[in-house]
Amino acid sequence: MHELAITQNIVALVVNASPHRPIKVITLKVGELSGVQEEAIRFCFDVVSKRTMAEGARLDIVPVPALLRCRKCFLEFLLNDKWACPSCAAIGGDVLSGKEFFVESIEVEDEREENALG
Amino acid sequence: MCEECGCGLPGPTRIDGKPAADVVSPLIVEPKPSGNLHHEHVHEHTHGDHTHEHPHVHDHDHPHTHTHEHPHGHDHEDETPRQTIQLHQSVFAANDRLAERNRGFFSALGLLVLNVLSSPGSGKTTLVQKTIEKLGQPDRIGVIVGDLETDNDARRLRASGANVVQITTGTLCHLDAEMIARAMGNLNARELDMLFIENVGNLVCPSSFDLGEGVRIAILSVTEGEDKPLKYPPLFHSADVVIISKSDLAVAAEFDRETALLNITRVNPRARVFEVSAKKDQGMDAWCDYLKELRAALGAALHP
Repeated sequence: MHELAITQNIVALVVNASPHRPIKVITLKVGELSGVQEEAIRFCFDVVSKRTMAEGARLDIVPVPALLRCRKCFLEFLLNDKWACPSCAAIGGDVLSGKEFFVESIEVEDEREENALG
Repeated sequence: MCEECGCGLPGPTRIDGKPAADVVSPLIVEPKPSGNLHHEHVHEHTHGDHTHEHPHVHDHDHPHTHTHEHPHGHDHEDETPRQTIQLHQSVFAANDRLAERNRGFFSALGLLVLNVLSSPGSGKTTLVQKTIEKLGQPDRIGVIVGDLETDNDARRLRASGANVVQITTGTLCHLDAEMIARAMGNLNARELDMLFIENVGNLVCPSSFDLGEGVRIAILSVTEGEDKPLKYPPLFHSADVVIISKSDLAVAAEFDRETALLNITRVNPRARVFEVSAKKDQGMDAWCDYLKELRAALGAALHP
């Protein structure tokens, strides 16, 4: 189950970015070709985030579609099940995006405003 | 628990039967060689915790996603003020860093490292074993074997005379860069020309983990069907070499060779493809010559 190891990485990364403030939202970018399963990450997250600043955070998972560029006519197109260029039918385009797997941003409780109020 | 590969939570990783953290490796700088040697406890506790929490997850999982999804986006006002922190960091960054360190170590030694990936039963061990036999000089070859539990594969490979290190991952379905760095502690890298890493049998998980290899090899056996590359694009897309194995069974398995080759090209036009039967010694010469060429090129780069 590599999603477990991956989810541990996510939690380590966000807790490192916000060691003291509770994390409310974690936005992930998951490429179509990243090999990562959204459901499995959600499944692991509750377990892995227990007793950390990320506990209870909402996971916003933004899928990134795979974008290919034809090697023949250089048309950019979204991945289809044949991996074929919709214009010239050539196969084996270069993958421009869709392999990424990023923690894009987190939302944390805003300390500054609390201070301002106090 | 994992529907994709049937594996569960990571167990304690062991290298040649010892806890991984006890293996001294040239690639791993220990935090501080103090008198207190009980670092591993931290690891074991976390794992223990996971296993315990496990049963709860099912019940919690569903209500959470529902309740959480709605309130957000609407009511920013009545909740605690929030601040957004942009991170834009790769989740694989930690592994990728370690993998690059491995890669630097390997290339400084001119060591050709091959990461072999496939589904269980596609003939990884037989291929590696026969390749070692054909290449000759097995004492110059290292093998790191990743397995969930048994050491059967390692024993088979040791019989070939190669230097074999066994990593048992417990239930974890892939090897990562740190495990490889650890395992190097049990190999004399300077005495090796080639290192095979026989990854855990799985087409999904290992493809995300760079180990620092020079060449990534995906095996597709003729009994698995021609559409595997389209079903598991992350693996086949990331491979440098695709080996079609058990080619002697192609007719019996009604293997559609043309479609298979086409599907590989669809997903990965730059992959080198070899069709072999390790058992019947078909196509093995071309494959071994290719490995020798790669190794020679590395050596030439080191000693011009």
